[in-house]
Amino acid sequence: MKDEFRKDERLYRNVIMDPNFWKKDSGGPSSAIFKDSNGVSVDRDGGREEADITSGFISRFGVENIRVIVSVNAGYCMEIGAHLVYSPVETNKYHAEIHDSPDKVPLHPKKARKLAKNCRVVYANEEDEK
Amino acid sequence: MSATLIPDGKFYTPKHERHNSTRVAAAISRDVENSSTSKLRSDYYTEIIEEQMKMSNVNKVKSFLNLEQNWNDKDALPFTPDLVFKTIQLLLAMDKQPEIFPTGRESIQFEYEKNNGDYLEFEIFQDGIHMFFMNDYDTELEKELAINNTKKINKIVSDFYEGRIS
Repeated sequence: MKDEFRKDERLYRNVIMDPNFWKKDSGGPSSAIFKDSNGVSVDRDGGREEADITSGFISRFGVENIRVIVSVNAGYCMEIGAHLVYSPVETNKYHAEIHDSPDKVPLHPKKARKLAKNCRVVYANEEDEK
Repeated sequence: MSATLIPDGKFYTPKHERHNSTRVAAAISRDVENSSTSKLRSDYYTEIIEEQMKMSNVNKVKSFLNLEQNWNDKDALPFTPDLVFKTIQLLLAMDKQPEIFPTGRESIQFEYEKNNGDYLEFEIFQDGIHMFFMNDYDTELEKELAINNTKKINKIVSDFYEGRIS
């Protein structure tokens, strides 16, 4: 996989079951899911089908630990000035991180909020809906 | 038929309508009384709901103490009892309860959101609070606040809901 991100590439993020990051008032994720000192972990699509991507998350984290999987467009991350870093790990060659800028890792609240508002739910745990 | 409340608290009804004045006055008095009672009742229920939300939020923040290192699968550190204690103190002093979330950067986030897209957050860190406001037109506002400045924080929330931040 190339280090450069295509604008039309999708990036996927697991929203964990506990604690709950899903907002009651707006029915979307809190921007807190995009606030991490160590960079926001995402999976690149790598040309895979969405079903394969969600299966990958489920096998890595366990279905009971996933509330929702959301995706954002790489082009949108670039548009708001976030910095994308491809950082594959041994257990996941699709792993990447969203940073605030080339010089700063934690996202500014504005960027975190914009990502939270513009992400799309691609998988929702049925157990959570019961 | 018309009736007017006159300064001594009684109802004035024009002469040609006085045949029904007693009944009209009674009806209006009842409406006034009912509206006053329902306002009190509504305030009372709002207060009860706020108190319930406050307790639920306090319990939620307390539960953050159970989050161990790497709780977010990205090496997040556990929350310190000091940060949790300060956050609970702040919550208890707040007039309107927020939605609360932990972050992976040793902070606890309070969020308020209106139907029109206006958004207000307070990110509570060990040594202070970062306030951030944003609306759908990309207007934004940021402030650093002292963690014990509850008066200022309540004022910001009140201004947010009354449309004085935009």
